[in-house]
Amino acid sequence: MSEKEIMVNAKNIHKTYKTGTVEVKALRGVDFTVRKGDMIAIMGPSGCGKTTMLNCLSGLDEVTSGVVEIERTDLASMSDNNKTEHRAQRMGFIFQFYNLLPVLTAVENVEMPLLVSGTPAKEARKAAIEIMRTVGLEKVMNSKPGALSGGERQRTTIARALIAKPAIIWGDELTGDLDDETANGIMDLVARLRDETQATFVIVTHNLEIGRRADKILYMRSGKFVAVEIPGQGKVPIEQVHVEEEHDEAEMAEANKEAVKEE
Amino acid sequence: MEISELILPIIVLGLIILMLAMGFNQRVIAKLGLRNFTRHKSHTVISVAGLLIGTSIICASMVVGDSIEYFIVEETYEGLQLIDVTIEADNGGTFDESIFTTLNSNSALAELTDGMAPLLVHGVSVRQHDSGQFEPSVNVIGFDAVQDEDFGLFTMTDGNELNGAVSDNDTIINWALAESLDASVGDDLYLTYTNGGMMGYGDIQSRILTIRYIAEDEGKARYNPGTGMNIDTYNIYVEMDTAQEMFQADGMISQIKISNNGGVQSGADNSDEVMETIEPLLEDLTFSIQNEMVFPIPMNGMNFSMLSNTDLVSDSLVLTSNGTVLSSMTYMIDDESGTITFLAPPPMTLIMAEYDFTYILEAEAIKQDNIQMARDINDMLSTFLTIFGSFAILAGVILIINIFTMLAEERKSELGMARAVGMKRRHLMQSFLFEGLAYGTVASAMGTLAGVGIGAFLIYMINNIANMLAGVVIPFHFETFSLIMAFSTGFIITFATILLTSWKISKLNIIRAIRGIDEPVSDRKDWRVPVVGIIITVISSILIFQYWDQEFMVKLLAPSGMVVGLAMVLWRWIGERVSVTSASLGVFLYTYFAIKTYFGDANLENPQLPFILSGVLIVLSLVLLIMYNSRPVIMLIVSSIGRAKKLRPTVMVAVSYPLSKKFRTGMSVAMFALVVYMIVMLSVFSNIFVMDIDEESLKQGGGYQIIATAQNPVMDLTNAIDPIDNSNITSTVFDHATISQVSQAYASEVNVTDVVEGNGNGGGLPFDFGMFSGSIIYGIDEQFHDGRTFEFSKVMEGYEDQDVGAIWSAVTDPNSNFVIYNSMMAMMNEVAVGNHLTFTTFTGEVTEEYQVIAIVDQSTMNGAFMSRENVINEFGMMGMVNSVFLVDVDDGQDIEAIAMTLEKDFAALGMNSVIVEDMVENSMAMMNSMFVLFELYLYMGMVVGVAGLGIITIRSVVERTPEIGILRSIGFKRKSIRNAFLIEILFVATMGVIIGIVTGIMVSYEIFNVMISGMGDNIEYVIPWGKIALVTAIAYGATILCTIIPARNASKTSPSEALRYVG
Repeated sequence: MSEKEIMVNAKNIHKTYKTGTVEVKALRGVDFTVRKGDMIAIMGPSGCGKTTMLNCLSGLDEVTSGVVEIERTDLASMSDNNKTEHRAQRMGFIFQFYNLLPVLTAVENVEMPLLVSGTPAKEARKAAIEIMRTVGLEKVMNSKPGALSGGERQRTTIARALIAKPAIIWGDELTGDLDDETANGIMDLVARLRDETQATFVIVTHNLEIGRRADKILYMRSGKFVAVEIPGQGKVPIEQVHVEEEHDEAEMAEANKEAVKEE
Repeated sequence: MEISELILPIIVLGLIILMLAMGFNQRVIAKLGLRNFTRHKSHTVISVAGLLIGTSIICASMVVGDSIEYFIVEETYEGLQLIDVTIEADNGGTFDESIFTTLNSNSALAELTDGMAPLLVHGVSVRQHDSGQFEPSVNVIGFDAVQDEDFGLFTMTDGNELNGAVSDNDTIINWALAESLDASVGDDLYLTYTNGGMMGYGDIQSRILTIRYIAEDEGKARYNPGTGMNIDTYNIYVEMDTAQEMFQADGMISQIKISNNGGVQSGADNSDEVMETIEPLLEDLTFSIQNEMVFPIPMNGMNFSMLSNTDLVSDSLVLTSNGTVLSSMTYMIDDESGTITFLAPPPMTLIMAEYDFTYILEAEAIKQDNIQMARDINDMLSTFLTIFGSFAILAGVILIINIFTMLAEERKSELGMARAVGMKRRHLMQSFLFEGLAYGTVASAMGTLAGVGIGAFLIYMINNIANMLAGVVIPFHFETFSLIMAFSTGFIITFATILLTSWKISKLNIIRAIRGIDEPVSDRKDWRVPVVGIIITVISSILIFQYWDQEFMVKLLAPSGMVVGLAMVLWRWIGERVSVTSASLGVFLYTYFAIKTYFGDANLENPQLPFILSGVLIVLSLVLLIMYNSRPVIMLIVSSIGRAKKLRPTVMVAVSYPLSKKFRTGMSVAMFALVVYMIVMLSVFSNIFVMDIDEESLKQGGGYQIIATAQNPVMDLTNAIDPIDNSNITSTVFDHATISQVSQAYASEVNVTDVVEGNGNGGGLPFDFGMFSGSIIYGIDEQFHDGRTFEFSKVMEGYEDQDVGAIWSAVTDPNSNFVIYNSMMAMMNEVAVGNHLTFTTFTGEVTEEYQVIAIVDQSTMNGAFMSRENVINEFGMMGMVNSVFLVDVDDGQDIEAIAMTLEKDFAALGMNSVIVEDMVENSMAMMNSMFVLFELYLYMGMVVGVAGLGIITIRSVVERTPEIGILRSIGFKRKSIRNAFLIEILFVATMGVIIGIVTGIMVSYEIFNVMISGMGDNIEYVIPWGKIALVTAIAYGATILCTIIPARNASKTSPSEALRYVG
C-alpha cells in the first residue's frame, strides 16, 4: 500500500501562555503527524491543551518552540498573510459554538470563505447554495444564525468549512453544544462529507463516542499525548506517540489491556 | 438668587442622597454597579469622555454668559462709582437747576441718599493745537466741585486727590483723552460745538480751555454721562458756570446724579426705595417747570399753537422769556393750520422761550438697570449658546443611550445569569443606576471642568469680535453657582437617560440573554402599541381642531403626531417595518411641508424652538426611514463598492454589522446627522453674507470711497468757517475728490400706514425689532446718486423697468413723495416697497405721507433717503443731527491720506471719516468671526459624534472579538479586519453626513425662500459646497483618527485568542 501524503507534521511543539507573571505550559513537546484523508480525534479532559494543539497545528496560534509543517511548508516561514491565505484556501474550521457571523444570513456565512479567496460573487453564491442543499439547509439559507437551531447552525458551520474544498478540516468540539441525537446526525454528515471530499479531519472532542468515529484517537493530558486508540482495537498508553508509526495489532491490543488495567 | 434656581441642584443632591441610601440597603447591588464602572478602566475613561461633552457645552455657555455679565457689572461699578440714580429730561435736553435745589432740599430724599450733584453735559469736538490730534466726540461736563465731593475726588496723574475746582478757562481731562490728544497739563484745547439744544444744527461755537489737571481714568473721571459705561469715555470737566456760559444755558443743567446710601455695590440695592421717593417728586416738578425749559431753534412747519406767550408783531415772531424779548424773526403763518413758515433762515442761536411742551423729567436707577441688563444679556447669551449647542447636547444624550445600550449588550449573558440566580428587574435597574451614578458624577464633574476651558476659549474668540467692534476686552470669569448648575444639568441629563435605558435593559428575557439569542421581532399581539397610538392620534386631533390657528407648534407637530399615532394603531396589521416606515416618511414629508408653508407666515417671538424641533424631526425621521429600509442600502453598497472581488467580503461584513444593530446604528447616524445638519444650515446662511470685498465696497459705498461725518453739522463744506479764528477752512481734498453732502435728520418713530399684500414685512427673519422704531433720514440731491453704483434689492411695482438713476431722481425731486429705504433699516422698521409712511419728528410733529419706492442694498447709511428739501421742510434744521459727506477720491489718489486730510482739515467740525473698504473689511471680518464662533460651537457637537463612533468602535472590537477570530480563521487578513471596522464606521459616518447634508440643504433652501430671499432680489441661495466638503473631510478625518487605533488593535488580535475570548 502506498503511503498517503503527510498533511500536517509537528515536531516537539511547545506552547506557553503568559498571564502576568504566571506561565502556563499548554503544550509540552508534542509530536503529531496526520496524513491525507485521515480523521484524527484528539481527546482529553478540559484544560489538557486540546484546543491549543488544534490552534497551533492550524496556524491560528503560534508555537513557542518546535516545528509545524502544513503540506510540507513550515508555518514559521510563512507570513501572517500567507498563513491566512493558506487557511482560506486549504483549511476549514468547525467550532463548538458555531461561530457564525450573526449579522450575515446562513448562505452569506457559507459563501464567505470563497469570497475571501476571490471567487466571483455569483459563483460563490451558487456553490454556497449547493453545499447548503448537501447539508440539508436549503430552506433556511436566508435566515440569520439567531433564527437557526443548534444543529442547523452547526451544519451551516460545516458547510462553510467545506465550501472551499479544503484539504484539512479542523473541528473543535464540533458537537459540544448539541444533544446526542443531533450530535450523531452531525457526525454522520461529517463522515459522509469526508467520504465525498476525501478531506483530512482533525477534531478535538471530549466525547468518546464522537472520537471513536475517527480513524485514530489521541489522548492528551497536561499538554502531552498519553495514549492512542484505533477504534475497535483498544487504547495504548504511550510516552510519546508518533502517529505515523506502524503499531502492529498485537502491540496495540497489549497496550490497550494495560490501559484498561490502569483504569 | 431665586429659589427656583436652586431646584436643579436640590434634585441632584436628593438623587445622590437617595442613591447612597439605596446603596446602603442594597450593598451587593451597589457594589456590582460600582465595580462595573471600574471594570474596564480604559473603556470607562472613553465613555466618560463621551458623556462629559454635553455638560461641557452647557457649562461653556454659562461661563461665557458669566464673563460678559461680570464685564458689564464691573464696568458699571467702575464707570458709575457712587452714582446710583440719574435724572434727565426725557428728550435729553437741559432743565432748570432749581430742580436740583428742590430735590436736594427734600428731606425724605436726603434720608435715603448720601449725595446729589448737578451736571451740564454737552458734546464737543476737541483739538490739541500743538499735536494736531483731535477727538470728534468728547463730553464736556460742567460740575459743581463742592457738590460733587459726595461722589469722591479726582485722582490726578501727579497723585493728588482733589475736588477738581478750577477757574473759568481751566479744565480737568481724563487720561484717555490726554493720551488720545497727546496733551499735557498746561496745553490748550480748542473746543468746537454747536449751540443746538439737541446737538443739532446751529452756529458753530468755539472755546479754548487750558488743561489744569489730568485725572487718572478711575472714579468719576471715567464717568460716561450717556450710558454709565466707561467704554471709550473722553471727558472734559469744567466748572458749572463755565459750561453754562459756553453752551448758553444759564441756570440750566442736563443731569442730576444721586448716590444712594451705601457704597459702590450696596448702594444699587437701595435704588427701588429711592426711585419710589423721587418719581412722585418729579411728576410735580415737571408741571411746575414746564414753562421754564429751553426751547431750541424754531423751525419751519412748527405749529403756532406750540408757542404760547409769544408776541406777534406784524411780520415777525417775538419770543420772550419772563417778559424779556429774546429774539424776533420774519415769519408767515397759515391761519387755518396755524403753521409757521419762516421767510428767512431762523437765527442759529439758542432761544429761551415759553412753550407748552411738556418735557418730562425721568429718574433712572442707572446702576441697578445696568446690572439687570448685564444679567439679561447673560441669560440671553447663555440661552442662545445653549440653544445653538442643543444639537450637540442632543447628540450627547444619544451617545449616553448608545454607551449604556452597548454596555448592556456586552453584559447581556451575565445580566441573564444574574436574573436567573434571583436578581429582580429592579435590582438590575438599580445596578445600572449605581453605575450611572458613578458615570453621571464623574462625567458631569469632568464636563464642568472641560466647559470652563471651552468657555475660556470662547471668550478668547468673542474678544476678537468685541475688540474689533468696541475695542473692549472681556475678562474670563465664572460664578461657582454656574458650575453647580452646569454640573446639575449634565448630571440630570446623564442620569435620566441612564434611568430610561436601564429600565429598557432590565426587561431582558433571561433565557435569550444567557444563550445570547437575538431579541425576536416585535410581537404583533402586544396591545400596548395600538393603545398608545390611539391616545396620540386623539390628542393630536384635538390639538389640530382646537388650536390650529392659535399655536404655531400645533401646526408644526400635531399632524406628525397624528401620522405616528395612526401608524402605531395599524402596527398590529401592517407590521413593524411598514409601520415605522410609513410613520417616519409621514413625519419627514409633513415637517418639510410645514417648514415650506408655515415658517414664512409665522411671526414668531421665539423662533428657536420651532427651528430646533423641525430640524430634529426631519433628521430623525429620515434616519428611521433609512434604518428600517436598510436592505436595499446594503445591496447597493455591496454591489457597487464590492465589485472589487477582494473587497467584497470586507464590505459585506462592514455594512452588515451596523445595519443589523438598527437601534445603535440609528443613534450613531442621528448623532452625526443632527450636527452636520446644523453646520450645513449655518454654513448656508453664513455663505449668504460672505462677499467679495471689492464688489461689496462698491455696493456699500455706491462708488464713494470715504464716508465723513461732521459732528457739528454744516450746510456747505466748501464754505465752512473755523470758529476759532473765523477763517474759511481750506482743504486740498477738494482738488483730489468729489464730495457730495447728505443732510441727516432723525425721526423718532416711523409709522407704516399700509403693507402691500404679498410683500410680507419686507422679508427678514421674524425677530422683533420693535425697539428700532426710529430711523435716520438722509436728505440727498441729484449729485448723491449721479453715476453711482448703489443697487436696489426691491423696487416698487410699476417701477421695475426704470433704471436706477430714474428711481433716485424720483426721490430727489423737491416735490417728491417717495423715499428709498436701506435694507437693514427696512427690516428693522418692518417696511416694504409700496408702503406709505409718515415720520414723527423730534418735536412730535408727523410728516407728510411718503411712499417707499425702493429698497437700496447697502448698510453704510442705515435709514430712509428723501430729497434734501423735504428733509429741511419736514425736520427743519434743528432736526439735523449731523452732516454726512460722501467722498469719491480721484483715481490714483491715496484714499487713506485723503481720509486723514479730511479729518485734520475739518477738525473744527468734528469730522470723522471712514474708508468704505475698511468698513466692509471690518464688518466682514467681524461677521466671519461670529460665524466661526458659532461653527466652533457646533464642531463640539461633531466631537460628540466622532467620540461616539470611537467609543462604538472600541466596544465593537471587544464585543466582536470571537467573530474577529472566525473571520481570521476563514481567511480574513489583518488588514481586511482593520478595513472592515474602518469601512463600517465610515459607513455610519457617511450615512450621518449624507442625511445631515441632504436635510440641511433641503431645510435651509426652504427657510431661505420663505424668510431670507425677501430681504432682497440680489440675495442668492448658494450651497456652500466648499464648506460642506470641509465639514465632511473633518468628520471623516476625525472619525478615522478616533477609530484607526481600535481597528488596528482588532486586526492584531490573534485568531486563537479571539476565539477563546469570553468577555
